[in-house]
Amino acid sequence: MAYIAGVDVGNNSTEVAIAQLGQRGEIRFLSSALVWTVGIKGTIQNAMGIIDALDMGLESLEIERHDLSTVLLNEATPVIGDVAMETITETVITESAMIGHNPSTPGGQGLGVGTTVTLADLEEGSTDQPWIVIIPATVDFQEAASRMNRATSAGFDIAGAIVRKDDAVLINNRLHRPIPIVDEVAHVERVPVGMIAAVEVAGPGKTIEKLSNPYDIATLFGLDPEETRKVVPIARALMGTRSGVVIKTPRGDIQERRIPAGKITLVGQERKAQVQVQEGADAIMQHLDHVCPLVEIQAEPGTNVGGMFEQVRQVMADLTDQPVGAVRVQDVLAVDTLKPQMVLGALAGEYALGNAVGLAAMVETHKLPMQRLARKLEEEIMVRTVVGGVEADMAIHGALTTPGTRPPLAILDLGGGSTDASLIDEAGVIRSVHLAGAGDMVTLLIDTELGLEDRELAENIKCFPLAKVETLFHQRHEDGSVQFFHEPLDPRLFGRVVVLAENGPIPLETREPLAKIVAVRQEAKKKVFVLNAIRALERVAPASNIRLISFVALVGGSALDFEIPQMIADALVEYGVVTGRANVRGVEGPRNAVATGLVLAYAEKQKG
Amino acid sequence: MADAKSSISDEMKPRVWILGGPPVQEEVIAPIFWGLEEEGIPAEFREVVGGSAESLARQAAGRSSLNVGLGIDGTEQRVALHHRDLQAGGPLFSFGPDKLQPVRLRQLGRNAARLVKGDPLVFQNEDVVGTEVQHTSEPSHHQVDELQALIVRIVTELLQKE
Repeated sequence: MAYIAGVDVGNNSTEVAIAQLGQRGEIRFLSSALVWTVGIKGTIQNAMGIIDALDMGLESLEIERHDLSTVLLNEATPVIGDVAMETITETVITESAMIGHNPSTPGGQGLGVGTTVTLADLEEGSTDQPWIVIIPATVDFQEAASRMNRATSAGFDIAGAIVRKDDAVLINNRLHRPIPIVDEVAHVERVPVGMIAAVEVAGPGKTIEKLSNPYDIATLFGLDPEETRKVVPIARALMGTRSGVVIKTPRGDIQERRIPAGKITLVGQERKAQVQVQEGADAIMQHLDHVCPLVEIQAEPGTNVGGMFEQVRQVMADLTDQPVGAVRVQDVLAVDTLKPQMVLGALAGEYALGNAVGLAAMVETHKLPMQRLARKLEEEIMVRTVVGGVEADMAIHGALTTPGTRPPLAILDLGGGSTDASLIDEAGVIRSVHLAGAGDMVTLLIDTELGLEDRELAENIKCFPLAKVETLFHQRHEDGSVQFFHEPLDPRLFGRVVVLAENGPIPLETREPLAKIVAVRQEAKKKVFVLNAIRALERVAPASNIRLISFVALVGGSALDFEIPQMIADALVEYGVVTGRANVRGVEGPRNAVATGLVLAYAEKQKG
Repeated sequence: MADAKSSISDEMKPRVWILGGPPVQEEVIAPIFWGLEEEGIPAEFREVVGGSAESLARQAAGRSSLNVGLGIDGTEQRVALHHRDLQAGGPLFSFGPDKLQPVRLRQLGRNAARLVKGDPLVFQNEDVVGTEVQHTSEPSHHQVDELQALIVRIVTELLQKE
C-alpha cells in the first residue's frame, strides 16, 4: 500500500489529488486541494504553490509529505494566450459643432434656435433676432436669471442657453419666460460666438427628437443635401440623449474616422490570406476558416496587433528557451465590439461609440520544461516526482469519473487564456485542440464596452451577479428578487448598480442601467465561449460533426461561472448532446480532473 | 418662533422638511434650497425652538411624507440630513461650522433630493458620517493652511499695534 499525489499546475490554479494505492492497483481517493499557481505555468517557481497544495491536502489525513511514495506532475500543455483591443473608428469634431450629453438635470423643455452670444454681450446686440446665451462659471444663477429677465423685458428674444455649471433648473425657474437650457458644459469657453445654434431639451424620460434627425437639422439650419449628409454623425451622436446643442460653424465638421489598425497574415497548410483588422471580426474569422488548418499567424510589425503578437511570442520563447522566431501563433479569435470613446474636440466631455475588434491569440510549442520542475520539486520535498501524463489525456480520464458519462466523451476546458477540447472515442483514442480566447477575453470585452478601464472591476463584473441598491435598506437583484437588510447600507451604494463580489458589494460609477450591464456581460460570454465551444468541438468531433459526440463535460475555472455552462448547454441542445458541468469522482465538480486523471493513469500502469 | 399650527393637509404635501433652530442664517438655508431645487424636489423651511441639528433632522424626516429631512442648529452652526428609516441610528450626513461653505450646503440639498429620487448621492470627499469624526480630529492640510494664515494675520496685527 502506498500514498500517491496527482498534481495539476494550471495557468491560474494548482490542484492536487491524494490517493491510497493498494497492492492490486486499486485506488482510494483521500483528499484534494486547490491553491493559486505561483509563477508562470511550467517554471520552477511553481514548486512553492505545489508544496502548499500538497500540505493542504495532507493536513486532514494526518500523514506527512515523506509518507508519499510518488508525486505525479502533469505534462502541461504549452499553451499561452493574450488579448488586445484594436479601435478602428473614432469620432472627431473639427471646430466646435456639437454638444450632446446627458446632464442629470437640464432646464426647461423644447427647442430654441438663435445666434450664440455671451451673457455679457447680450444687451449690446440687436432686439430683432433670437439669441442663444452662453453663461460662464463666473456668473451665478441668480445673476444670470436676473440679467436675462432684464434683457427679455427690454425686448431681447432669448431662445435658449448653454451653461457651464449645474444650474439649468435654477436659472429656468427664475426666468419670466422659460427656455431650453443645457448645463454642465465643461468647455463652455470653446463655444463659438456669433454662430447659429439650436438647443433642445426633452421632457423627463424622453429623448431629443429634432437634433437627432438629420432632416430636422437641415430644416433648422437651411442645409443643402451635401451638408445634410455631413450632419449625419451629429444626429447619430445625439440620439438617445435628453439634451443637445448643435452649432453651425463655417468649417465645423464632425467625422467618423477609421484608424488603420494593421493587418494580419493567416498562413495555412495550403493557403495564405491577408486581412485588415479594421475589416472587423467576421472578416477575420471567415478568412481563418478558409485557410484552416493553420500553421501560423503573422501580424504587421509596428501596429498594436503586431505588438500583441510579439509579446505572446516573447513570453513563450522565454518559457521554453526557444528563439522568438521559432514560436508560432496558432490560433486567433476576433470579436467585434463597441468602445465608448471621448469625442475629440468635444465641449462637454461627450462620448461616442467607436467600433473596435478584440483579439485573442494563442501560442503552442513543443513542451514546457516540466521535467525541470519535477527535479526541483523532488529536491525540495525528497519524494520521487515524475511527469505522469499529457494534460489533455489526464483531464479526460478524470472527467470520465463523472457519474453518468461514457465514451465517446468530449471535454471542454474553459480556462482563462485558452479554450481546449478533447475527445475520447470508444477505442480510447484521444484527440485534442487548443483555441485562443477564454475568460481573459471576456474580461477585456466587458472592460472595453463599459468603458471601465479597470481590468479588476471588469473581472468582478464577469464573475458575480449585479444588484441595484434601491433604498438604504434594500437591494433588487438582477433577477428581480429583493433583499432587505437590518442595518443601513453604505450611502455610497445608494441608488447605484453594485457588483455582489465576494468581499462585499462594489458600486459602479457608470450611469448605465443594470439591464445594459447584464446584457454586455452575457453578450461577451456568448461571443467568446459559445463560439469557441462550437469551434473546438467541431475540430475534435468525428468527421467534424458535433452530433456524433454523445457527452460533453465542462471542466476548468470558467465552468464554475454562474451562467457560462447554461449558455453552452443551450447552444449544444440542437446537436443532441448531453452537456453539463463535470462532477469529477462525483464530488469535485468541474475541478481536479487532471489531478484525478494522473492518479488513475498511474494506477493503471501499476496494474498492467 | 413656535411651530405654526398648519392644517394637516398642508403638512402632508410631499416635500423635504428643513427644521432650523435660531439663529438660522439665510446663507445657510439658501444653498440647501438651491440644491433641492436643481434636482426638482420641493422643500420647506420651518423655524423651531431649537435642538441639535441631528434631532431636528430626525424630526423633519419623520414629518416628511418623502421620509427625508434636514436640520440646522443655528447656535452650534451644524447641519444634518436624515432619513425616516434611519431613526434608530445616526444621520446620513452631518457637519459643523468648518464645512458650512455654500458648495457643501448645496451638495447637502442635492443629496437630500437624490435620496428622495433614489439617485446615486454625490460625495465631495470625506463627508460620510463615521469617517468625518476621524477627519475632524486630524485637521487636513487645507485646515492647517487656514490656521497658519490666521495666526500670521493676528501676529502681524499685534505687531502693527505696537
